[in-house]
Amino acid sequence: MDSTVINAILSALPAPAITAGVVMLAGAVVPGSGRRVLAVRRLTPGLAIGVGMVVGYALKGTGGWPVPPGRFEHWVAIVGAFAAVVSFWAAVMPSGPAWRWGMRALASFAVSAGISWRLARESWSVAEAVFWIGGTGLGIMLAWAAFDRIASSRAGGGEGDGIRGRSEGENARVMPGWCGPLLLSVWAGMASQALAATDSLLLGSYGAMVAASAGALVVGAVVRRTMDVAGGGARGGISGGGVVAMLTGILVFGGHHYSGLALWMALMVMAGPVFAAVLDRLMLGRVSGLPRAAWRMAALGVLPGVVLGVAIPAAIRAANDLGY
Amino acid sequence: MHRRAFGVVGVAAAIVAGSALALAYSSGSSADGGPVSASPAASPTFKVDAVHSSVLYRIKHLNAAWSYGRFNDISGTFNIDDGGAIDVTVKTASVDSANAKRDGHLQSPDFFSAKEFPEITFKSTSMTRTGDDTFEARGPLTLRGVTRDVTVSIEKTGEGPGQRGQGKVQGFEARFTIKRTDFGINYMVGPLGDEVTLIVSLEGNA
Repeated sequence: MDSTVINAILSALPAPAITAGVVMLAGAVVPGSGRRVLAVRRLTPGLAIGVGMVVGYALKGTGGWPVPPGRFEHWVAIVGAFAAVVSFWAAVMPSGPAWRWGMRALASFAVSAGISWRLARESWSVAEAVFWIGGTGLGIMLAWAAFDRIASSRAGGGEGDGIRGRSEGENARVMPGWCGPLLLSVWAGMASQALAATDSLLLGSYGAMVAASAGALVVGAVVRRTMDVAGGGARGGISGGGVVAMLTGILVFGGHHYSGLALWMALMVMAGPVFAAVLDRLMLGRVSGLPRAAWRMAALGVLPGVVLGVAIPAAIRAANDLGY
Repeated sequence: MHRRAFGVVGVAAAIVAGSALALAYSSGSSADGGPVSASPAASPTFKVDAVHSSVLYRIKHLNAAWSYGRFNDISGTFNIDDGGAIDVTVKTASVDSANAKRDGHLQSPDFFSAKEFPEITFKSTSMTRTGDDTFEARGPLTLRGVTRDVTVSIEKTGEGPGQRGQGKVQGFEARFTIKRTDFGINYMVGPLGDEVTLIVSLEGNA
């Protein structure tokens, strides 16, 4: 790949990463332990990545004003802003699994309907629209739920509030807190590479921005060790995993429908977190600490790794032919 | 609590169902209207003969050489004499750069995003004769969903009876340069030039 292209991708990464890191840091260092602080910490992960992506989109400068969305690229900024707004809502709503599943479902299917609307109106039959809107929403929701489990540093998959100690059984740490954001970042990075290798460097560069923003959550996890920033540890809040699942989900959708990402590749990428979550539940119950994180990372990377194993050699061959 | 969850999940399902129902009642028509009718002039309106017409582009690669490509699916009508009109549509998915892998990349969101924006259109709104066989057409060029007014210099290249003496054929060539960034095609500016020259040679039958 031409170094100019690589530089174009890399130069787009600092802005979202720094923005997300600053927002995360600001949320993590808020002192105290009251309800107000709890709300702030609930909203910071989603807000950090969402704002990071909006800033990254704006500074990248290829998409223009995104509202109303005239092209698929605009959805990157819209979903980033949507995640930030949902973060505020999620921060004040009641906690509990029912609310969390409800929020996942609403946000995932709303995003799916938004990005699908144009194709649904112009190209798809009603049956196709139901299939794609439903399938995409389901894929985002399941990846989100899976991340809330595997990217969480807590045994309950993000049940803890991260501020007040709960009983050890409910809130025990299973891996260092910074490993969670790293899992999100690695998955988004692999998705980004799959997109870049299948004809869309533009979507791939946005995927890299998601990875960079998620990576910045490591800052918050290191500063506030009790805070479960990646897996929805701020209970009831929108998790870092949720925002990464939404943003990466729309890019994978775009890669399949508008570029060269084959359906099996899209499914394998989106299934990565679900596969890891199932494996984690079935086999890794007694493992903890860094080994748990390493196993989760390995499981997460298996299916997207197969995609990269096919797509990258093909892309390299094509790039050699084309001279970039 | 679970009842509440089902309720909220139900709303999500309603989004899917609502989208589908709305589709069922939507017209399904694109924003594109019908062809611009030619002005009531003496000269006939010619229908583009795609087999004998070409739309070429050239763009500079690494600031070194011109890289040429073409679009293979062209349609439309024209009537350049007597203040007539041009209405041409090119399918972006028909881009042909003599390399299938590169064609896939050109159809992706990095460039034409062919599935999102399947057509490039030009519809003249005014036509001025500038010489015996030269004209200047102005009108909106729509590329990747962005519409900009362009001015196109046209040279009538010939006319005569059609094959086997039936009807009439006419041809013209237009050459004009656009900045792709004006149309939101911003990717890889640098390795690939911003300016793209379009060479349009159309033959039509009447």
